[in-house]
Amino acid sequence: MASSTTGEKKILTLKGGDNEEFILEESLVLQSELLKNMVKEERVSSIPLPSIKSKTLVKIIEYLKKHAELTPSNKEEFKNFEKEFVNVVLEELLDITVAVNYLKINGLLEFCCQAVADRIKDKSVEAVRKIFRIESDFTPEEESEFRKETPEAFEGDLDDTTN
Amino acid sequence: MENYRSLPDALVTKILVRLPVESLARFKCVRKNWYSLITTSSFVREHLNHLEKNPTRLLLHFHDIRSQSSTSLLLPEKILPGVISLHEKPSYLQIPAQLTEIVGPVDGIYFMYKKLSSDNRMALWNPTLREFRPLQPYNIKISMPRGHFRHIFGFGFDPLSQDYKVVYVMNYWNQEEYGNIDRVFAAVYSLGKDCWRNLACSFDNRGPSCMENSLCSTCVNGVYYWSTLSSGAIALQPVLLIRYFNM
Repeated sequence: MASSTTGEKKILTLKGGDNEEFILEESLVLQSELLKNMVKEERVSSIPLPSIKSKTLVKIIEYLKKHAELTPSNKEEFKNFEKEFVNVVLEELLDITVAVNYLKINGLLEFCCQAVADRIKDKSVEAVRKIFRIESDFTPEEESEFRKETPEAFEGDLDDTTN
Repeated sequence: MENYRSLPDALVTKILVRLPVESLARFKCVRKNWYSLITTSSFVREHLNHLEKNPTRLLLHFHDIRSQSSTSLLLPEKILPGVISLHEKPSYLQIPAQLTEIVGPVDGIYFMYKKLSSDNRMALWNPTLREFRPLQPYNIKISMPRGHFRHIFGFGFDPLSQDYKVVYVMNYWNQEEYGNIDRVFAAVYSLGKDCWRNLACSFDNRGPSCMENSLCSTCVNGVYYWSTLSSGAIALQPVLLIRYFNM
């Protein structure tokens, strides 16, 4: 984590969607490409992030801290932390994934996308629509056509839950 | 549609490329823009890049020329050392009976060829999606020679044109008309253009006849290779040849 500033640690404030403030070391947020550019180019000390819920921001900051402490000796511990990190209800996992995508924290984004994929792979079409909050724009005829074309995709234990 | 957590398209793509192909076959009907995303060629390529983690299975195909019968076997997913694996007859894969040849797979797709007395049928087959796509019949007219024929196929992906291609080499010979020299005719099929194109090709007179009995053949980085054994021109010494075709 190369910082051009000398000696003392710079402090930065992140403001979540519900105006809650989080004060942290600037070096931590450099893992986010978006925040890194803001800090380097505009020399800001407070960054509002109205689209991110505070609850989500707490989780992400927790990750940034853990990731900054990552060394070859605590790799296993970090892996366990990552597993626990995504072990939340799907709704929350998607909020985190959207925020991480916005903040451009690349390593974590890959991990979150894989976690979402693993969680939805056995879901039914209806469940996926609910999870992503989208409605079908196919006609019922077109839908039954899909079922006829690839019946095996609709066979087996499909999961109708959204969490 | 009101939707406060609308996911950017790029993010949806990032999630979907990590799904197994069975899930994608189902999620095509979530919404029209999901359907178009999942079926674009760039998505398919990206999805293949994530595939390494998926289990690979071995398909064996035998064709007995004398009895004109063929058998296909799919080996089980896990083959443990010391345990004799039971062959599984993959009837659920709905492999058309009496196939003459299967080439592949390339990215999970097989090329299949069936020789009929009236015409020859070819198709591409994706067993995971159970998609079966017959190919345009090959109908470029050549002065049909009498005599003996051999048909040799290669199937691969051309990274330059991002296209799947079938290469077809036919060689024929007729002692009376051409003497001992094999004649060769070749064509290439492009899946993207859905058409055949004739190829001007020059094989030496030892001919590609050995290609049919290829020891192994494979497609690597857009080039199709046949490893073949042929009898050499000098003192009939066996010669190991590698013939290749750049897709």
